[in-house]
Amino acid sequence: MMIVMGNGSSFLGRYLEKVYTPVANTIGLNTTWNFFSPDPAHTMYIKYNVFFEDAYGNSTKEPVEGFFPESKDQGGDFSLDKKRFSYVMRFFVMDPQRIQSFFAPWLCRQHDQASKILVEVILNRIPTLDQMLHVGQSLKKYDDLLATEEISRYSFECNSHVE
Amino acid sequence: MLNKISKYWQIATSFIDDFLFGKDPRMQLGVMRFILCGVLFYVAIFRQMNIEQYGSLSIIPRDAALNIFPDFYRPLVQWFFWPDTLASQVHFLLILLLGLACVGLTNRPLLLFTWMLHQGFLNRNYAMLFGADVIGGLFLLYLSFTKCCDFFSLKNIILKKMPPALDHSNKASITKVFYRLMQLQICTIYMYTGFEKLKGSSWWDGTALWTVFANPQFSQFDLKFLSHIPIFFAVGTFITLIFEVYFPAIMLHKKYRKYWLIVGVAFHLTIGILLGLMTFSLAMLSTYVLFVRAEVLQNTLTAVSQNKKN
Repeated sequence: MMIVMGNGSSFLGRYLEKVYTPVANTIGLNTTWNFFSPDPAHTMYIKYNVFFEDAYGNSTKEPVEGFFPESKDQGGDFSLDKKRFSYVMRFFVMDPQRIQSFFAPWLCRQHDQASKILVEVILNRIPTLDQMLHVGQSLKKYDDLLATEEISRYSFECNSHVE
Repeated sequence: MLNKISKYWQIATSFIDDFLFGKDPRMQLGVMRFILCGVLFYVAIFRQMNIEQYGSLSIIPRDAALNIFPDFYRPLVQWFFWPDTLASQVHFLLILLLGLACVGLTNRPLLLFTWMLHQGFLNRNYAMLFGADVIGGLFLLYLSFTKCCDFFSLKNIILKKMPPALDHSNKASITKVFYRLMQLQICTIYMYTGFEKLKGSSWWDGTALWTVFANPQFSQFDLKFLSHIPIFFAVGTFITLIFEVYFPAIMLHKKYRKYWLIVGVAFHLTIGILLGLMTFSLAMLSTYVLFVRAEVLQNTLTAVSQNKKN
């Protein structure tokens, strides 16, 4: 079981799925051991804006801008309690549906009277080693080579999510 | 012909019998328990600071806790049997049990219960998992079937009691089998970790480590200056691949095993320090003891304690 479940989506894994996958899932054995793979991730973070508007669309409070994790793209959150939020961010970014289902409603709950949330997923593409060599390995050029991309943007109405 | 088959059959069964039941692994298991439960205890203390994420204020609502698992990975049992309002108290209990397990003041049913609580918190918020949580949980489960508290237990140290000799009971046999299973498990983990990396173009290309070290969300220190020595990343990337892919094969070879383990210690300490993954590294390193012979372990521990006395 432990050998097959390392590659559970293979034919053998699928073939034997009914036999022991539920057990393997329950004891935490069905895991793909993909640390830093297939390729290490680039720097990512979530930028969000929380809007406070009344029923007529008039602003009732200054919008709030925030980042998740709080350290944005700077790292530095290596304390275990803070580091978990970087993992949560990556979990959400992997599937945008999760942002809609969990992250945005959570933000709505965090900000009393919030009416709308705008979420942007930002990716800082780290220059390749070849690019670094081409610019003469000048570290000053690193920031110029760093490509910031907005890979997705979502808007949510809080009222529909408030429980 | 029949005689030959019978002879080979006897050799094979005797080999399997010796492999599975021939060794007394309790000393290795004792050291592993101490390190692994110590790491999980440390991780749990920090998890307590995020306890709101395992209760009613969690980013993942309780009724969605199992639904967020991809279908193929969804557990059959919801291990978090406690209500969200009691998350903090139950987590305190988990910390206590892990602390007791670390010093050997536990037994097999209690260790299994400790694992259930641990797995419950992992299930409750699947988004917040560390590698150390997953690896630690898996090996905690294996340990709970073994007599891992016979050695290096606080009770034995205080009472100056020698561990009992290992009998031929079912409990002893299960301990030996689970010891072998853990060895197989760590080899499997390394092998698949290596294989998964081979899918990535940057690992083939020899530049994956650059992406890791240049990413401030991974790297604890600003290591971008290392781009002046690109060969460091190319060699480091390939060494990582070779180390992981060939780990199971080398562990079968008594002569080269120790060299691979030394490389592994260096490898894990490096990523532990540079990438802030020390808990993950120590959880992985705790399993290395399973590949060290009991007499080597005993001699090392004696030398360490004598050095301390001197």
